[in-house]
Amino acid sequence: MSGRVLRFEGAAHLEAERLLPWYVNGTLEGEELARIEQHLTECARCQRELTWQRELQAACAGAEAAADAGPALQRLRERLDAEPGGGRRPLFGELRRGWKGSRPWLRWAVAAQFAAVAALAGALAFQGRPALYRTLGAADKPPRAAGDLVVVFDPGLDEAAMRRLLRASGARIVDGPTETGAYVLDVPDGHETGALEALRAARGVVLVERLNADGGK
Amino acid sequence: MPRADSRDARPDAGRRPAPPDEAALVARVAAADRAAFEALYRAYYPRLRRFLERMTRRLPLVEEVLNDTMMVVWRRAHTYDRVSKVSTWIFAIAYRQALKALSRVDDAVPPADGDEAVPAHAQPESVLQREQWRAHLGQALGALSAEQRAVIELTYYNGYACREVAEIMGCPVDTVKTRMFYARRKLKTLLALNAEDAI
Repeated sequence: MSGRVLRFEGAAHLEAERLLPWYVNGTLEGEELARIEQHLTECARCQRELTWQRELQAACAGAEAAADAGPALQRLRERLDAEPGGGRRPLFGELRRGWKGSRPWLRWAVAAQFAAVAALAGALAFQGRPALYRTLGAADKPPRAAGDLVVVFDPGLDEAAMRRLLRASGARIVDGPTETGAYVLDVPDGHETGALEALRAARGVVLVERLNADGGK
Repeated sequence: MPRADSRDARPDAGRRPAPPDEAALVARVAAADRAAFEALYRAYYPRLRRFLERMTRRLPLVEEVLNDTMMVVWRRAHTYDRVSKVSTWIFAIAYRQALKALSRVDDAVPPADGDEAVPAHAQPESVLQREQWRAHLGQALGALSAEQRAVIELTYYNGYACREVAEIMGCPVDTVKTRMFYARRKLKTLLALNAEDAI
């Protein structure tokens, strides 16, 4: 087939010729329909073409396959059951495919975002380190780092859904959004792993990672 | 001249009961509801099967492509945005899956030899003539590209508007019109050749 796209602007006859298939199937509306109907009253060639296309439509109108969907569906069931997650791909796989399929500039933007998040995380961790000197009244416990997880939500996720996700995982936002939409979350002690896994499994979360690689605060 | 057809007069309209809220069904599929998925599968099986048979003209491929299509529906149901109709969304997946499958095999389907021929542009008048004409039309359709056959099937059988066909095929409306134009021209040429051979 030629790769050329024909331009059909201009003569009423050419327009009618290109639109006749959708006149025949009854989906033309408004001005297009009115113009075709008008043209058909005065163009013998288009009237012959219309008759030919109705024959074509009638020839295409054979019945749908009466085959039973059962056997094919059973084979699909087996396929679904055989795949981990019942055929639903794990979030990591989705992310990897999305990453590979994205445009280079977008990958650079996301990489820059992670660099910024890492810098933020480093700064927060540094601020949280115990001071080299301590006053006599200082508590024994070192100050907590402000945040355990960094998360990027799907841009399409609405605020109510985001709130539900946070409540379900016991997390609260302590920083963000950054320019690229990342948030820093604080999670009660001992619940970091549970919150991490819950957010990873949730729809609407593009990425979630610990701020500290060792898992501690 | 009176209007040719109403939307309800499309070939596949009327035979099919009004669909349930398919968008709600897809939403349940997005929530991993297997019963909803199987209901959607059964609802779409006949029309997808027919579309894939006509588009690919390779029966051994049909079930594989159909199940690949529904597998994508299962996995990607959460991406359905309700902007388009469920049917155009699913047919668009089927179309892409079919093209992918055809790219793995040779898409050249040799046209069947035929002894009989009838004049191409003359309208078939008798029942026998009509049957012969349709037989030749079937052969001629086999000589079209898969994309051209898809345009013809989606328009004349499924009754989609030009804009919907473009949505399914993932191309501009002008490209759909162009494919249809070349498809009709090629069909007429092939049918005319059959007629000449018969003289």
